[in-house]
Amino acid sequence: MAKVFDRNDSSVVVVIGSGAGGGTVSRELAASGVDVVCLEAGGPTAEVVTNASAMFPRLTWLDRRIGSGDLPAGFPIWSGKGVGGTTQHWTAHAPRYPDYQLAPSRYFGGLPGVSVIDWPVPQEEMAHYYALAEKSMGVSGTNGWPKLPESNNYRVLAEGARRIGLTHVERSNMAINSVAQGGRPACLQLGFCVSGCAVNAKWTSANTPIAQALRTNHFELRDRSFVLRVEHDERGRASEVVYVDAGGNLQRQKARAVCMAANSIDTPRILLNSDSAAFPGGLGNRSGHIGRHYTKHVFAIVTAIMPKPVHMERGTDNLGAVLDFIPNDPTRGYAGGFVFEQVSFDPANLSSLSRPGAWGAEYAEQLRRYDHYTGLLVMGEDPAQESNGVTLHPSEKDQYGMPVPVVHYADHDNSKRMRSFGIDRARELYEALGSTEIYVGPPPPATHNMGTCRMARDANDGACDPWGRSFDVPNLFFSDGSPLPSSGTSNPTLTIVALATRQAEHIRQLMASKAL
Amino acid sequence: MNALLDRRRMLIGLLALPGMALLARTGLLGRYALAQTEPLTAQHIDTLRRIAFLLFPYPELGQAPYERVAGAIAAGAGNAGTRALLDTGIADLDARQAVTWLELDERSQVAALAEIESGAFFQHLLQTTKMVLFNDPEVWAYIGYGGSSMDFGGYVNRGLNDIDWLDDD
Ligand SMILES: Cc1cc2nc3c(=O)[nH]c(=O)nc-3n(C[C@H](O)[C@H](O)[C@H](O)COP(=O)(O)OP(=O)(O)OC[C@H]3O[C@@H](n4cnc5c(N)ncnc54)[C@H](O)[C@@H]3O)c2cc1C
Ligand code: SF4
Repeated sequence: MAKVFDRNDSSVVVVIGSGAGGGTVSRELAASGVDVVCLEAGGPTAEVVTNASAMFPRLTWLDRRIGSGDLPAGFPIWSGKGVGGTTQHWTAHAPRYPDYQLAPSRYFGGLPGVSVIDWPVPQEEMAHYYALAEKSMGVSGTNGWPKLPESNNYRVLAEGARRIGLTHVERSNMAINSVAQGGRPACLQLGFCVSGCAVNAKWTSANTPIAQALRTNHFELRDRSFVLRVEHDERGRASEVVYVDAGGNLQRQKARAVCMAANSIDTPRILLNSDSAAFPGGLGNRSGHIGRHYTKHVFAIVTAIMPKPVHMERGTDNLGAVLDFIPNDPTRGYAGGFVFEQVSFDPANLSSLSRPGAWGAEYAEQLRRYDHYTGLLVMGEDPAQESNGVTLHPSEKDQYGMPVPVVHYADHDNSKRMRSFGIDRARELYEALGSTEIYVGPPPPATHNMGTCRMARDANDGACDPWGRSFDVPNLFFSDGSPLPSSGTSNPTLTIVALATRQAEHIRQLMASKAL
Repeated sequence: MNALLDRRRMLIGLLALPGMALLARTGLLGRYALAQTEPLTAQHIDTLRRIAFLLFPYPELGQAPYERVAGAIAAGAGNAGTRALLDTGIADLDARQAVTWLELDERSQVAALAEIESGAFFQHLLQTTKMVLFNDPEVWAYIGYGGSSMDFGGYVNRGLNDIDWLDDD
């Protein structure tokens, strides 16, 4: 029998969201005997079929969000809704941040208009929790698990890089089983990672931490529970979470502590919607940092048609990476670094992402050579800027009556220079392989969302302390991508899981010392 | 017609995932209940089929894949906003010359489409055609996309790493 907690039980920790961070903090707490209720807006994990367009509406957050600045206006963010959150979609590229990227002020500090801070977590401590995260996620390339095998699309990237003199090309550490472990099979190279892995070779929050939490006697998962507000008591402590249940009824769950894990867009959205006389700017927002400093990586999608077949669809979407451009080198005309990541698209997405506005006989003829296409992402570090972030729309409401979030993101000039440098190198790489048909896609919706409730040493600089605990509300925690103070050049999820693991340990200590 | 929705469609019509999001919201990909409306005329459906063909012409495939695109667009027309978009869009194409658009020769048809390509009607058809045509197994086979390899045990032992031209020079 699944555990059920009373809504008036004020001894439970309430976790909002069941994605990477929410799943991890839930499992870590429940496994050590702390009672947890996880409220998830979406439904149970969708059954996976190997068709990208069929899976998209089942996995994706389609509730209205408004993009502004350099984000697509109607669909600024690509994230997941449902048990497992965005990890149902993720491609499981799982690198650590390079050490020196925990101190981005060293290379970004001189840029105009930025709000960059350094990480308040010592590098040795990050290394410890990275190791725990890699173990719990089964990251291939760590802990004696071999890396995933080379694919055609990987070899195209590697050979192109070699031909233009690049030397740091590797198959990345991936949270995908290269051998069976953790009760999950080895990867079959189906190549549908973005649409959910039909065999669960890919780590997701649903198939690992949430499943593990459900096996404890200390965890209740309430899906189709859309959180509107977090309320506080007269002492200013988070005391109740208000949500709409599966039947459309308004409910309240009492709480001993609240972990925000609704992702970097909806965590600040919920808190900004939780304003009160004591917190007129939103719960935990006395310093004004909730919803600011949003980072998402500098992105460009480059696709190219090769002289001969590649079959990019065969195998994991996102295996290879070129690391030569990670080190900061101001002589390139920008600060910070970027990577190339191998990427593949199914025909429907390719047709829109390669040349979005194109149609007619010439483009049809190119797409007929689908098997000749290859692709990469330019993915670079973007500096935090105070004005990038999440606000509530003054009048527009969603189906639950909650204000729609407006996500604003304007590229820094540094990011524009970095992107065009990266695109030029990508062109050279593909030209070196004999391609004459190379295309840069449209700005994609953001998939890596960070920084909107960032952690800092000092309350003047961020929303939460180095363990993700709110500076203003002592039993309110940030457990998802929102506390990450900078984006680095690494995909964020391994870091989210590492920080959530560390935070859970801290919460247990606070509880043991009766501080919580 | 819902003006806001229409403006949004124009803004997002140029992007793949936003296009998917729109189709899901308007019922093409999702399982949304469709309102009862008069079905599109055969002439309308024929026009849609012909437009889909001219967007991505693969004469060797015959008409069947394009009929499936037209069918999917027609299915989406249960949504009142989409229906109005189709009705006015086709009427506009037909009103540009003395004969209907379908009666034009191929070059003139393409030229007429090029004139309306920045509009909401055209963008809707372009997005939908991409999503439906390039998800059609017959098209997949034709353009060399392997699709789901689930039934074959994945690509792990089936051409994952069989590229043989990288050492050519
Ligand atoms: C296509 C794609 C590919 C990606 N590939 C990679 C990759 O290779 N490597 C990598 O590191 N990262 C990747 N990512 C990013 C990765 O998925 C995210 O970094 C990660 O899932 C974020 O974790 P999170 O806990 O912050 O939020 P999420 O995983 O987004 O979870 C948030 C959860 O909160 C729920 N929620 C939101 N609002 C509410 C509310 N009001 N009430 C209740 N519940 C709510 C949501 O439904 C969701 O389930 C990818 C993302 C996408 C879209
Ligand atoms: S490539 Fe591997 S991890 Fe990705 S969907 Fe297929 S089996 Fe799953």
